[in-house]
Amino acid sequence: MDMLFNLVLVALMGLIAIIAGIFEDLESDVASTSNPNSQVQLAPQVGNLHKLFNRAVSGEPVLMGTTATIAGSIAYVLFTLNYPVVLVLLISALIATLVQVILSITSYMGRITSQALYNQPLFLDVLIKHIPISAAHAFITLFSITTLSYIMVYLLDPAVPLSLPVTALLMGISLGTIGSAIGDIHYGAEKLYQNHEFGSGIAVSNNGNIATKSPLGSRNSIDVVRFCSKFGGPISGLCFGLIIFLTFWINLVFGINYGLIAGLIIVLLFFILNIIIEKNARINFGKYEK
Amino acid sequence: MWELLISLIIGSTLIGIGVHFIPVGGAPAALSTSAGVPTGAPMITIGMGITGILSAALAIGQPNYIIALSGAVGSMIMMSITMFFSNVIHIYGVGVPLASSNFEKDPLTGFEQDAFVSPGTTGHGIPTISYVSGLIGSLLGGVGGSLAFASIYSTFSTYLNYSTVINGTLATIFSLMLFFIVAVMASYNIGGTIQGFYDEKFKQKIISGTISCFIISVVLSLVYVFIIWGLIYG
Amino acid sequence: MAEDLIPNQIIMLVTLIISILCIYGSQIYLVGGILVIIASVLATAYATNTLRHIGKYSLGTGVPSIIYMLMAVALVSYVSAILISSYLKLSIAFPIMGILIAIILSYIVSMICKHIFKIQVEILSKAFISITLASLIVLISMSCLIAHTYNQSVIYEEVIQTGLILLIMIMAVMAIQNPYNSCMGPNEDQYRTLSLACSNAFLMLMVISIISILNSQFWMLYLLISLIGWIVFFRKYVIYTKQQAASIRRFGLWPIDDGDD
Repeated sequence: MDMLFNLVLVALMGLIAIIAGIFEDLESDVASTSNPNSQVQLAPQVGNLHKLFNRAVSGEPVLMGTTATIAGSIAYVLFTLNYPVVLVLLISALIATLVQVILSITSYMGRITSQALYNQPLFLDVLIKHIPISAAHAFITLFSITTLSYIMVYLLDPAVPLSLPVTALLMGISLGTIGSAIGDIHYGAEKLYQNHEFGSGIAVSNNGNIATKSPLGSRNSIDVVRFCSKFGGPISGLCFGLIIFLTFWINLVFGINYGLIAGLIIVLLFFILNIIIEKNARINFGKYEK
Repeated sequence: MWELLISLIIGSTLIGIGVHFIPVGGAPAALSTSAGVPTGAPMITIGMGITGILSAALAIGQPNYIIALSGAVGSMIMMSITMFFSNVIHIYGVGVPLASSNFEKDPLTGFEQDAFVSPGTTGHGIPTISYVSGLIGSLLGGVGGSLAFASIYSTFSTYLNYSTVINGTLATIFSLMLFFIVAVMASYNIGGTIQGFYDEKFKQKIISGTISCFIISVVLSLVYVFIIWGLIYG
Repeated sequence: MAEDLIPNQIIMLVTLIISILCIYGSQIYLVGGILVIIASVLATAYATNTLRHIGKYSLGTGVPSIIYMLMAVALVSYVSAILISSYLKLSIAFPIMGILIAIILSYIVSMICKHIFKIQVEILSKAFISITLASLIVLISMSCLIAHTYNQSVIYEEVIQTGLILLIMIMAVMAIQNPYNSCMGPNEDQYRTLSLACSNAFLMLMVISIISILNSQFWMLYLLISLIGWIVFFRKYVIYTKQQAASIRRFGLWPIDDGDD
């Protein structure tokens, strides 16, 4: 019975992690964070003024780690004061989202103002349109992360022997790393450079030459989310969900010692899959003609 | 205490060496302009080390080498899944084959590289040899981080009568700090992008990287042992 | 980066003297919390201003990495200072010990960068030491606000064992590196960046005030003071932004020709 309860919990954790991963990556797309943002920043310098939401709070892992830790710590304090669980999870995610909103506003204003040399105007409608959407994505992510940490620390048996703020920090930073290592490629290499040919990397000479117009008027970052939610976001979510699920599942089902062997087999499996897709891609795409 | 000192030095030196093995492309890799994992070297190392620490924390109560191994397996799972899905986006989302112009031929699969690199870039995605290098890096980093975690945890649980949660929290804070310092120092040594052990740059950088990581490990480990000695007898 | 309107040395002197005095005043009934708030805001501004100087050199990886590495160094020296002062049973030694250890450790780190990695930046050691000191002061003052004293054994129980130190650490990283990162560019301005740094510090102090609900009955007062401080500096930031932006538009497209509106 105990085993069954734990298995259900681990499956639930995997599910919540998938949701957290999807929305984390989409949040970084709607409020352009991380590595592709270097191109949005470069665009005015090469003469492409734009209406994208150019925000540079910090790298994705640090931003996600900060907001997740704030949510986790407030949840920890409120749990100590014996508030009901659902209320605590909601309040803590809400406060952390407020912090994220303020950081987004100041970062957009700062970066754009520092580009006054290139005549890039500060658009207030961009601010008003994008903030609620990025906040909504951030709220779902933070709520999922806090719930995930809550399950790990208080419900799982045997629980993770760490306190809630520490667990939230670990989850936040690792989610941010995954979001920036996976989902951002779809945004940076494909959506920002839709005016370039599909199926090639972006040459250094084209850096900053991003698409700034959509079929109707100017492109905004909400178009980016719609595009990335079809592939980049779900894949990031799947990756984070699989990592959380497999890490706990192998220990639970095979025990610690056999879990090591199972883990190695999983690693090998992904290695083989990687070779297969690499080979297929080479056969299907062919060489580049110079 | 000697045991703690030696395992801390070995652990953090392993973290520093592991960073050099991970194929890192930095910001250009997010645009398919260069090959590697598209994020900074310190961040991917810290993310990987964190998963290792989490799975090491799940194995608490076992002997030290089992904790270290399970941390390594956790890091390897994280790294292999991340690199795999990163390649999936490169192939099916951007439509580029995996190649890097830092070497001519992949020694494992025998795939030719230069003809598959799009003009004006230095590669895209993580080719097989870099993938293997990333796995080695995550193995070293995971073993290093969770060795530090396990030795600090076992010292605490032997000498201090705190609860498991407090011991685990303290050990996590200490081993996380090792990652924060050593990973950043190692990436200053790398200076930008690297494509794993088959890259020419790796051979130039690894010796100075190992020496510097060893020095900073010794300094940090001495401070750590001093702190933990103070916690126990202070 | 624009020229300094306020010299870094003056910010350094003011910060070091005032914040150390403020930390020693943190045990005073009611006023202690307010003093600590002042200390952490000053230290954040000092660290950001130093980062503006070192950030324009490329060290090989992103700018935030400097801050979180030095913050980790500061945290290690913070924990060792706690242990030394509890070994000596002398809580008054805790902040001074922390500063001494932080100087030594960050000097070693900068020497490794200089001589082994061959990073040729003149102000490297000075900047690393300054940022570590400022980070240490932020860490100490924020944990004083949670524990409501600078007594090392209380801090050890309330802040370190619960894991809240990691919250303080990552929030300090965010408060220090975010102003630099988000105001970077050709038209960067010291007043604007520092007003954003102060505003961020107050934002983080609001979160800390909510956390301090466990130990202090005055958490509402501290929350109110941080809120007022945040509003003041946020307004200042918005005013500087309005003065310095190329143009502000509520709708429409960007200008087509050069600069004509």
